[in-house]
Amino acid sequence: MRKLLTGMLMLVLLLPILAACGASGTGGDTTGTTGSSAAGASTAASGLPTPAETEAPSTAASTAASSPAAAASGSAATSASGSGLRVALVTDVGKVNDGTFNQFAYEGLQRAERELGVTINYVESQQPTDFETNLERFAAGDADIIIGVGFLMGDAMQKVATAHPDKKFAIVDFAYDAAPPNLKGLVFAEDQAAYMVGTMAALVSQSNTIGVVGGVQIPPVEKFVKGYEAGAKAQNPDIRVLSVYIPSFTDPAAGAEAARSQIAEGADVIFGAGGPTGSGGIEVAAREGKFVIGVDQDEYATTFKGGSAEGADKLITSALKRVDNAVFTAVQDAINGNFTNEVYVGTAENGGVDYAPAHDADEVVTAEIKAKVDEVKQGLANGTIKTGVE
Amino acid sequence: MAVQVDVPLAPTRRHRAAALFRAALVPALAILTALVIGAIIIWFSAPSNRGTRLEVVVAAYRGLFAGAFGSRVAIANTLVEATPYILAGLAVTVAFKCGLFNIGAEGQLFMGALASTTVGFTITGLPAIIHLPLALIAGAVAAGLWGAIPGYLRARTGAHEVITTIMFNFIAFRLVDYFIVSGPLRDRRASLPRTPFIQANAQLPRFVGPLEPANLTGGQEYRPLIVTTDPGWNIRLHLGFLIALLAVWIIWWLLNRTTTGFEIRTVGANPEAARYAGMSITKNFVLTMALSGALAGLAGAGQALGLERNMKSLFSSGYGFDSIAIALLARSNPIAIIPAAIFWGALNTGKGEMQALTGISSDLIRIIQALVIMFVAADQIVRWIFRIRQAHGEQMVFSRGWGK
Repeated sequence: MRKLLTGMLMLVLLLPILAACGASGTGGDTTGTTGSSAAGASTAASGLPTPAETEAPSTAASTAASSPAAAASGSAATSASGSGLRVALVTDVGKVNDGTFNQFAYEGLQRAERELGVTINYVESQQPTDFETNLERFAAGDADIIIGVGFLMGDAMQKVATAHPDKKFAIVDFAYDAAPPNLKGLVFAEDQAAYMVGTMAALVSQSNTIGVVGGVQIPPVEKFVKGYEAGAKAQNPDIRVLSVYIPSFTDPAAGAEAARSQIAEGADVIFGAGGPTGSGGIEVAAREGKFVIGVDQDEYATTFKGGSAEGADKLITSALKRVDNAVFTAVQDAINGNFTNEVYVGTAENGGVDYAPAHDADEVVTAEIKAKVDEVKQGLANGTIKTGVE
Repeated sequence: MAVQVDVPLAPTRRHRAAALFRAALVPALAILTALVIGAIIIWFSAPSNRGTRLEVVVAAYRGLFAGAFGSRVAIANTLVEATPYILAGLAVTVAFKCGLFNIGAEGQLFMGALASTTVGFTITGLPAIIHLPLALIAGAVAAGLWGAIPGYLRARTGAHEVITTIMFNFIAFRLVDYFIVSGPLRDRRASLPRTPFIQANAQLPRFVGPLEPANLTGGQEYRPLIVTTDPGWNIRLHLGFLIALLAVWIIWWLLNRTTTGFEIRTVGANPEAARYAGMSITKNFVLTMALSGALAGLAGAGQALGLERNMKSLFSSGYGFDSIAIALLARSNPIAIIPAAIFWGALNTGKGEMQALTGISSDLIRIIQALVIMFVAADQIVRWIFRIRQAHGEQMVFSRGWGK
């Protein structure tokens, strides 16, 4: 018993010591934040680290990493007088840096913070039962606009929006038949983006067999898969398109397994259309030397780490959904008083969907192929080409 | 465990208090240690634009607490979150008592929810007094049968329940996917893959709250027990919570006050001795796993009938798995399941507020939960840190090893 008390006492004593360390550490931080770029420049110029810098290289690194965020919030604070609106984001199951539409939506919000002077905040959902509580947290709290990410949040969003008619809501990937006046759906013509990359897949494929690894079989994923198939078949009616749906968005291992079996069946281009599950598929396929296509955002920057990951030269394109533009537009509309419950549909025409550049694979994606895909994109934009996907 | 050791002399109140203290000491210190380590992690991962590191640590834990207990709605959300944990944690506990390790609670939870929801929306025109119990029983029976199969396989063929229950999870998930995503139970009018809403008479009613607009609930009018329009009383706590508490009492009574419970515990402690004493291993394995499955099924039924009022394909994410952690934290004591589940629910409920206030990743909560489990499972670490001696007979066996 005495020893226990001693132990507790030690712990209590430990806390202030830690606190003291932190106080000095954070003191260093704040100066580091303002001066980190200058410090970095001086190191680079002199080539010799000063004693102060050798003392805390890790702090310097960490502040260097976090200083853009700090700077961004600083500039927001100065320009916040512009609107002062508070915008909150609730992610689908995932994170704001997970390389999926969650991250893209957050980037749209960060752009709104920089350019429109809104204050932003977010909560990441860890399971579907979190949706309602997370939305309610902001709706009942101090947020003016609440953005939800993901089709699966549809029911929860409608419920919370109905209960809070004074707040504005927008949801990525969901369109309501009859939305409450304060709820805007932001959807995308996934089939058009997939049609473009399907065209490219058909042009790149040598084996005349291509594959697609889909996530949970919900409408946006189905539109990706069917649009891909339609685009490829329009280019080459004899091409074989292997498709599979995996009942999870967060299972890279299952995606990899599916990609392997498609490769075994002869596919030489794989399109991963299902969040991290699809990314797992294309990662493996790229490592095995097959060409791959990303989804939602340019996976060159996310899954293939800006070219440093193995197989980055196999990523020929990505089917882009400009979730960031949609989110930014919704926030902008709210500030300008143009916010309605009318559904926003991102298409090839308004730049809501697109295909990504080939980056390290540009010798495979020749100028002719690119011209052909651009032609298709034009056709989709002006309506002369229809994907035929409902 | 120590609480239930039968002391030859009549235990005085003081003995009981001391035993309770000893039993609760290690889990409580495990939580404390995990929170302290969590604070250190927040310290190092604190974003630089939210004040000093100490402020972030304080704000994070304050947010965690406020998010879980800061208001009436927060407390209700914590209890709502704790409800499936209590029932599923109880399921794992019952299996532990018989020396079985039920990792299949998640799958049983899915089967229970599926059966309850199906009974909830296919049958119409029954009064609530019949329809609700019917839906609950359907969930418990379906999940009980689902759980009994691995129990039977273990007793008769020796197939280890750890393997079979894991495999049964996957079968359950895929079955539910079939029925809800592409199969006959999907609501064709909804774009989300989910079943239709259950009949209002099959719901586990919320205690207090507003009437929900029928256009959001597939035309059903779900009426709480007390109807109010006060937004401060718009809480989601439902009758399932009382059912969970009742289940705790029933299981405690069953395990400690009945012959069946004695047999289950004896088989768990020493199957050879139990067999020698004339107890049927097969019967007890099957019975325990059925009971365990039924409890997990009730957890799923409560989520479907009380919270969602329909079943989605991605319906639970890990209540059944987390319940293993809760059973460990409660050291297989049915009564202790309640505080353990509320603690777990509080962490899950408070994390949103913590993230909104400090920008700390909500993964921190998973880290804290993992640390708690590590310290409870490897209690020697905590005993070493805090210099606590192990009392005689305090070790516990959760599950037997492989084979036999």
